[in-house]
Amino acid sequence: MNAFSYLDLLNLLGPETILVLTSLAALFVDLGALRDQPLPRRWLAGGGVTALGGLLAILWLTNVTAQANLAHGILVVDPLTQLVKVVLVAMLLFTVALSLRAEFTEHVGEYFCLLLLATVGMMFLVSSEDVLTIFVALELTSLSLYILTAFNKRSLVSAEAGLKYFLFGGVAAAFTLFGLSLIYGLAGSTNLREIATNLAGKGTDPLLMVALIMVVMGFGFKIAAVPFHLWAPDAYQGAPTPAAALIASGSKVASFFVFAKVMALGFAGIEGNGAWRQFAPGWVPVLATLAVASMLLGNLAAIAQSSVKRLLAYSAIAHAGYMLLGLLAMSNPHRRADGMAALVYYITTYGLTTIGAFGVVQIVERTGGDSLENFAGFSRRAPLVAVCLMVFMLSLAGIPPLAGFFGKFYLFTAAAGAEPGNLGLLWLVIFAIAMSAVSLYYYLQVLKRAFVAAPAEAAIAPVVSFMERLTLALLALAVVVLGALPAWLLGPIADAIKAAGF
Amino acid sequence: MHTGFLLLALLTLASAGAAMCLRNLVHCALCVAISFVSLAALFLTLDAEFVGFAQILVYVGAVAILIVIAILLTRDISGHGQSLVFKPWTLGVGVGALVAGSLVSAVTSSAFTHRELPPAPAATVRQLGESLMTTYVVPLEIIGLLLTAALLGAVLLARRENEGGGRS
Amino acid sequence: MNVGLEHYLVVSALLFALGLLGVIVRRNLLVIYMSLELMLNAANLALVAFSRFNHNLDGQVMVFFIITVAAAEVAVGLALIVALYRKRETAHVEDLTTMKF
Repeated sequence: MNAFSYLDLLNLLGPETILVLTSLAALFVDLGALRDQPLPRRWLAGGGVTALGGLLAILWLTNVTAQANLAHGILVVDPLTQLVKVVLVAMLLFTVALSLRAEFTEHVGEYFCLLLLATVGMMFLVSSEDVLTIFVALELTSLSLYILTAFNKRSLVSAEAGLKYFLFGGVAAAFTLFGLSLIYGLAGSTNLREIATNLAGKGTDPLLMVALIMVVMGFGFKIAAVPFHLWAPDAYQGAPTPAAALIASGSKVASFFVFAKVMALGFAGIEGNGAWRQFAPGWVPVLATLAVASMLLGNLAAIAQSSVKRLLAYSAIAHAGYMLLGLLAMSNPHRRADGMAALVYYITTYGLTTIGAFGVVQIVERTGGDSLENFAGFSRRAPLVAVCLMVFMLSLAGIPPLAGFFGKFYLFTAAAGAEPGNLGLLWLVIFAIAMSAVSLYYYLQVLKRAFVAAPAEAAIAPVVSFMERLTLALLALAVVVLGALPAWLLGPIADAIKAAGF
Repeated sequence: MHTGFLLLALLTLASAGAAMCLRNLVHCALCVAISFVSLAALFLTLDAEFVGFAQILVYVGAVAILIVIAILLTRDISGHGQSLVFKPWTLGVGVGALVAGSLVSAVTSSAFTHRELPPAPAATVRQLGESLMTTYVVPLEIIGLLLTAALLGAVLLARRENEGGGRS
Repeated sequence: MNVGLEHYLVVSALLFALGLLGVIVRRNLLVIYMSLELMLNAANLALVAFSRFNHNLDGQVMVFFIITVAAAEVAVGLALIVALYRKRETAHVEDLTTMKF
């Protein structure tokens, strides 16, 4: 074998190494040093250790420039993957900040350790262009998230949600794996770019189509697109709220990023055609169908929800539908960079917004539950948090000048411009805009309860810690600033995409 | 070679099918274990000795045993008095038949699958090990983390929580 | 007639479909669990066959990883089932109905 330097590897994997060491440190600090300390102090210590590790990892990611493609895509490190990793670690940090006052478990060290391992899995997922690494990293992320979902052992719902997530996830993993093995067999390689080269010009073989559909099913599960979404509402509702926030943000960012790479790089050449009345087999029509189904069912089902966590889950399903438009925009190799930029901007801002929304839900939960009724008169009980809630909900609905609006704007223009001249996907964009209008209804329902409805007689003011106030305010500020000055985020994304040569 | 393959294939599928039909859970586990073993034998007919033995060690030695232990822990062996399957079982059979049909027809009609058998590879355990430590060292590291997470999670989830709220 | 790649793939496809059938129709969580393992094994068979006929080792390496992943999954899955059983005294799917649409 040619010279293979483990030192280089350690250098490339610096941030991941830091997080793994942090996970061990969190475990040992909690199990060793703080064994008999009161619970709140242990949460604080564990969170502090995790936050320190996360900050170090971000420092490394932003200061050490590295670019490498190791062993045919087993590990790809370039400015784009580094940027997405910064986003992932930032989401981890916000999740940690929201867990500090948690009471759902006594196993603090294990909790932070698993949060970190899930994030490391996502980071590996982001920097691989090889089906084997993708599968293994996907499993690391999924397994950690199954465990985190079932983490609240006092609650019946938590165990049940974990099991459902696990069963659906297991079937999806089997489908992904079978699809990936067929692709390996057909192309004779495990590297995404080599797969595309080897398959070029072979046309649409039936076995290749089967493989494509199986891979889409597997990833469709991870991003919770209809009809593979059945786990999502239960998992969001049953999981401890910070864990649900990570599932809804970080896991989604990583899954979408790698899904886009698999489709745009691995299946380049068999896009097919999704334009109105010009359908041709390939991945574009398949994803377009998923997008339509997700937007339709997600938005309509969200209207009927009374639990706000479930409402957020269905809204996440609808947003997965919008994000699929970004993937579709990548079907044209010349416009791929635009689609990727729009997608990364959208998933980043969506992730930040959704963490914030879960943070508010967690505070409301302390006053009794997460149903819409518990939000009644919330603005009078906790004004600052209610304002944050308004920012998050309006951003999710896509109201200007918040980040959600610009995300949708870039995504939809990228999708509409994917086929210059004939506006092939315009029908899908029009449908998406119509559906965003529908979604406004249920987001406003939540806000109406919080700001207009009178509080119940027995309503108590929730206890909000300083860290929670700070985190929510930061998130709301980010949503406003990124909406008002989208170039702050879009500029670095565009530079990174150009430098990565995507 | 030919009859050997046919026998092993039949054994794999028949025992898998039996596991799907039997009521007694221990019998199911036994059938699945037989299916695992015959799969390992199929791997041997494909000159994949190392993977075949790993299959027997892990699946038969660990997975099947673990499943039997879980069956005993949940004390629900016979399944008497309850229906075996969901009521709309025709739906399941329909989906299964659809998947099987489309997969098999795709395999038989694909232009990729009619290939000459290349000469047997000189794949040794040494080569496998070398590629694990060089080309595939990153997935190997991820697997290490995966096992850590699984170990931690399994212990945490399966252990009895003491009711008082104190630490056990 | 020699045994070719398509024969192995047909066996693997049938095994996959059998596993899927078990996941969909059976009520007991442990049987569903075994069916999941059969589906993963079907993928393994396809990989080993492809590896032999593609004349490279990547497929075998992948199987090695998948076997390990499956072992980890087994541990977590069975722990989840045991945890639920402690709470509920049940190992049947239709009892998983605390949360409704």
